[in-house]
Amino acid sequence: MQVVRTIIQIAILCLFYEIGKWCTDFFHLPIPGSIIGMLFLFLLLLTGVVKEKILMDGTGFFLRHFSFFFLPLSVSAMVLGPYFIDFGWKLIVILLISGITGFVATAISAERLIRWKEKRNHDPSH
Amino acid sequence: MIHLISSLMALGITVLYFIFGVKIHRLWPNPVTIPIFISTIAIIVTLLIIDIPYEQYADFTSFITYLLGPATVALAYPLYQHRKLLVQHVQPILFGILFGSGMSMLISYLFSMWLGIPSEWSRSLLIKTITTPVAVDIGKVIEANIEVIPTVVIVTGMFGAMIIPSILKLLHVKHPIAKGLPFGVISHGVGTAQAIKEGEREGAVSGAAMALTATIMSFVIPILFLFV
Repeated sequence: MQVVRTIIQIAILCLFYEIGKWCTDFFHLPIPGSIIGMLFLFLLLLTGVVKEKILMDGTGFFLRHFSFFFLPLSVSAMVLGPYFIDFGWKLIVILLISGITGFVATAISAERLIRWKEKRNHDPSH
Repeated sequence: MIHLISSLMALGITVLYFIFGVKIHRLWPNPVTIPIFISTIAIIVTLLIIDIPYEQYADFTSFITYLLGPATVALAYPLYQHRKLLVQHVQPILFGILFGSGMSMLISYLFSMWLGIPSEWSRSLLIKTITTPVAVDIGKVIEANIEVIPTVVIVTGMFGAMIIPSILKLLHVKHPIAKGLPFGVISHGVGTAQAIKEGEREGAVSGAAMALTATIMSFVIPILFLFV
């Protein structure tokens, strides 16, 4: 029963994705269909049109195995092979350094701002 | 018929390798053994040995890639469940997205100039923190090298999934919002997959950050390039 329920719910999530893709095409949006579908489902949850329980098994399945669905795309790293001879270490250096800069800048700025806000809220002198 | 059989075999191998990846990661829990990384390497080696080009493999496994769409739709759930937390911290989230992706783009641009990378390449590197389908669309607008965008995006995602947990520990970042953000902002989908493992709230923040980064950047970058 659980399996059948999960499959049906996955089909419903696919439907949301198709609606999202259709919106992107029809309105020439610069946002991908999957994101539109996500926002649409989020809106229906907020307004109570879709009850939380209805898609629980399907979403649980996707969230548990999220990284698996990237596997065929990540195998595309093999197409970098020929370019690698031309640029090689330069590409690696840029990817690593700009990546690390981004991780650190995002985490630190958010953490500082949260702490600063908490401090200000708890400070009775303000 | 032959296409169907090949396709089923490719799907089977992909699932099998991923399950092995999960098992190996359980035996040796280490950033270098995350399932997506080792199974990617294993599949690349297999394809090289049996001499199948990537395009063909991608065609055979397009069903898995299609499911990335509904999987992203599923992110509406953690987003809904943690909506109060997200609304409460909307300023740090927006600031983290703008500052984090801005700094990453700036460093990427400066290093490309310094190392003499051709401009269509540096443009592809610039948009690497945006989820693949959006990155490809923006890439067309700013005349970047389209064919390498998915690869550069995915490599960035995988690198983030491997290294962000250690960076967070090193920097003593403790708040679930600040912990989830860098996964979604810089490492999009693959990062979000890892953030979900860190915790439910981290996963929700990461998913929201991925969507917001893609939305904000799809407006900001093309405008930025009008002036370059």
